[in-house]
Amino acid sequence: MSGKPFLLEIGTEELPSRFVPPALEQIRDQLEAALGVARISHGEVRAMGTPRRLAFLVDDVAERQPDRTVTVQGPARQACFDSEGEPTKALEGFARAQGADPSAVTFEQTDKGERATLIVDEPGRRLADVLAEALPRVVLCATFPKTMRWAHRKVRYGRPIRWLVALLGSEVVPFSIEDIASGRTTHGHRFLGSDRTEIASADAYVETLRRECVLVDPDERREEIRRQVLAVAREAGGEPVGLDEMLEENLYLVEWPTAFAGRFPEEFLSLPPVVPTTVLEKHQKLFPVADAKGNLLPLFVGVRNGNADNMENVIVGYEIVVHGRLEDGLFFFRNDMRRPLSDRVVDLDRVTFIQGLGTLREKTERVRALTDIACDQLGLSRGDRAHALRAAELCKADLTTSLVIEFTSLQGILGGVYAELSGEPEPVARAIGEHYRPASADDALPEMVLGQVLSVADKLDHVVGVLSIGEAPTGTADPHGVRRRLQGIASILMRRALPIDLEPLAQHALDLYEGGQPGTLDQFRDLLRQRAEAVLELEGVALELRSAVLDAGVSRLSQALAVARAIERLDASSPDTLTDAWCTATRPSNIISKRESDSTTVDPSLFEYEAEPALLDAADRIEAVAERFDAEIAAAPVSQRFAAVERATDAALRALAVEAPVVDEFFTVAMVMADDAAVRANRLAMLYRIYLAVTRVAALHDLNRM
Amino acid sequence: MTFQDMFLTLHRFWSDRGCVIEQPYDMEMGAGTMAPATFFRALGPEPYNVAYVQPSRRPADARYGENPYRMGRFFQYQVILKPSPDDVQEQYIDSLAALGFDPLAHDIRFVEDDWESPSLGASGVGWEVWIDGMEITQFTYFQQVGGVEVDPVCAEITYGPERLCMYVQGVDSYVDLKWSADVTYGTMRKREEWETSTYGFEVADIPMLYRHFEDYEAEAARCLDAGLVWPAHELTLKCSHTFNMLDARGAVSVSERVAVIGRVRRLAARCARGWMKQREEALWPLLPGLEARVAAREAELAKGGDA
Repeated sequence: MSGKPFLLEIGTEELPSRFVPPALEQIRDQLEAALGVARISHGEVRAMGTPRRLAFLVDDVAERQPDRTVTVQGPARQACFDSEGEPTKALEGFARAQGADPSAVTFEQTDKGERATLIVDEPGRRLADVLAEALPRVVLCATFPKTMRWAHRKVRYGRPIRWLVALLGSEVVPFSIEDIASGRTTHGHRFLGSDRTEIASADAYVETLRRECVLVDPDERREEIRRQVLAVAREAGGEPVGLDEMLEENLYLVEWPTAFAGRFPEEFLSLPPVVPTTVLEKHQKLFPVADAKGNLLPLFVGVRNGNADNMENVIVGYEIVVHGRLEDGLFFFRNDMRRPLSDRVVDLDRVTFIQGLGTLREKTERVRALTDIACDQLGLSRGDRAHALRAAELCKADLTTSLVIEFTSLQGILGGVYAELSGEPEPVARAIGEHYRPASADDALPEMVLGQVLSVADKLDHVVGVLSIGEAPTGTADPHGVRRRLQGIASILMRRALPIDLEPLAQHALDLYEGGQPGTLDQFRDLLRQRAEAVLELEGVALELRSAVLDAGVSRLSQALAVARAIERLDASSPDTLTDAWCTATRPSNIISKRESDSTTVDPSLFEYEAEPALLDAADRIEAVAERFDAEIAAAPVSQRFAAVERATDAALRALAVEAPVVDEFFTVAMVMADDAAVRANRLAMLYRIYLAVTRVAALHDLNRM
Repeated sequence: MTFQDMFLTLHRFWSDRGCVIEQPYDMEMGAGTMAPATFFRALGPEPYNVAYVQPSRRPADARYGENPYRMGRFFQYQVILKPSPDDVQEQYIDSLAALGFDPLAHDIRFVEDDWESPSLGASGVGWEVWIDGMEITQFTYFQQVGGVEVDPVCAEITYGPERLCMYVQGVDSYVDLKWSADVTYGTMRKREEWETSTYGFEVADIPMLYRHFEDYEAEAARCLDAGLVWPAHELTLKCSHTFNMLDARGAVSVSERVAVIGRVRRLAARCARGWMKQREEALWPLLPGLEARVAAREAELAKGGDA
């Protein structure tokens, strides 16, 4: 090891836990970039943090920049010598400024003419100097979700900066941010550690903090929390629920974790389980505990920021709080249960949906109408349709319940619970319960077809409404969550191959709003296409294949992913077959842009070559392939569409591959762009028919097979 | 420690740290932040350190006296330190120690919770402070008050005395809190909670409340036009409380809510600007160097007079 370790610690007041990981990453990258720009060689850069500190350790940092020689350009040649050929003041000044003798100056041709030039040795700067200059920017580069000012200071940060440590080996690297100057003094755990502790050298950092009851390395802390939480939960007789998620939540809340178990009265298990779970997880950052079957136990595990001393106080305290919150939950729950969910629908008259888009009651009616059409498209049974429509009527009624007002994140979920408790049929309750899904790109989809239909109808109404009043997302701003909802729609349709045709449905959604900005539907298609691309990208579908399946059109969106999967599979098992199918598709597609009309009428009397009737036969067969493709898919039950689309696609591709020689032969012998307009149009009509039929499966010509 | 001991201890503690010990403001309000000792003093460059108890009314939080924590009328212990001292968290933790909390015997945490009051046009960044999971204090660095960006920034520490004291005394409900050595909180206030809950949720005359709201709003605007920011602020407080009553009564729809809160906020913003103007004209009396500023102004005026 030739260099020294470097430590930067930014001491803050308690940062929100969600602020810490991105700040660590940004500052680490900036620090690495600063070293790179300064040509300082270094080893690994580690980022570590707790709620009260963002820390960075760099191994093996070179103490100096390497020396180098640089070429310095000076005045133009004519300014360097007077009429007698003697060096001028300009030349002498230039040489002196570079610490050289005027005789050392040479002349070089540049794009600004011939100029005085010196090759100068530039000694590398000391690392401490380079860092002192760079560190303020490094510290302040973090972009927190929200920043603040404190006292008289101008600087903004996630929370107030209280101290700075910068050590190169055992030397302080001096820099400051306003009046906060760097040093070697850090602060230990707020209560267990010393108020002030000196760090002897950068490499002693982690261990010095450990003595001060701070586990600064998040990986170590995470494993310690995991180990303790599992042990405590098992000792109490259960398993922690949602362990990984809650681990991340707790990781940046504590510097010195110690787990404990607490209880709450069994009567609260009569609440819908999401209520205790939400109270424990979201409100109190505790781990719920369940038995082996996944049934919630009246237990929780928490992680204290401290040691095991006087743990009984901590447990009692958390128990009182959980009790109080659940008591509130029960109060709201009983209150809400005084009226069946369906009674609340009229209350939605008083609730605005989105400014300019009427009330939630009106929204409910639109969603019901869209659900009705979607049920038609899906050919659902009368029973299913009745359930779907009932679910649509009731899906927003929970928004006026006290429990949803208190626990906003449970909207829909509680609606499902209340629907069931109000005696609604189970499918209705389930559809309501899952209709907000997926709430984000990694959220689960609704499991039931009815939930999927309701989710699509609800989101489509929302998106078309927002676009119709000109509030489309711009840049990163998407106040009404249009992109997220469109991605949800695309995700449901494609991942479940749910055969809803969005073209007429979106038109209908717009009609229900009675007008709207011109171009709303074009905007809808554009944004939908982008989100569909995003879903396919997340699915790992390659760029050209994404185009190929999405170019089949909005109406066929639900088939896109299944078609892509079938194409990928054929490519893996029999790439030549796929290439042949591609040939069948591509040559017609390349030339049909030259057609003068969209006519598909073919007149055999205009044929000049044998290859032409052969092509006409092929066109007929390819159209039959497309018909069969659609028919096979349509025949499959809605719940088995994905596999049906895959099978139908595979069959279609194999059938298209067979036609490749016929198409090839045609292009070899016949001149498509014949001089005779009628002959030309006749040939283009046949090719256009092939193009139209092929693209019902996929725009295969988008693929790159050469 | 009795409930009243707690107030006495906090008074002593913050008085020793140079705070003005204000008395409660004698009007209904939802929080200690709304009292002029915070709302006005947080604005402008003048330093100010103050502590006071503020009875707070939130009709929608009333629970007929039956919930162990929630009440329609409760107390806040409010501290404003302006500018925020660099050791403000440590001072706060010392105050907990003064109340008998050994930080080593509890889990004390600063949990992200940014505060915002749409009706005051005020917002800040900070935490709720947990002791063993219980929220006992709201800790806020004000960033904006009455729509005005504050500079310097003050720290606001708002203790929840009932919860804190319940915890100190180890009781499960506010009803059982010992207010003094031999009188409980419940004896003093339980019936009051039941009556005010019943009134707020079931009885209050909605048309009357709407009328009052309109009257207070108009009167506040008249005061502002006349440059009377104190009465204007009081009338704004009345608007705010009247709105809270309407809200508890379920008389305000969601869309209306935003609009009514906006009306209160506009009044609050005018009060804030009016106060700033007043203090500026008085040359920020609490800012060091007042005499020099007065002399400078007199010189300026004298020069103006000559011309």
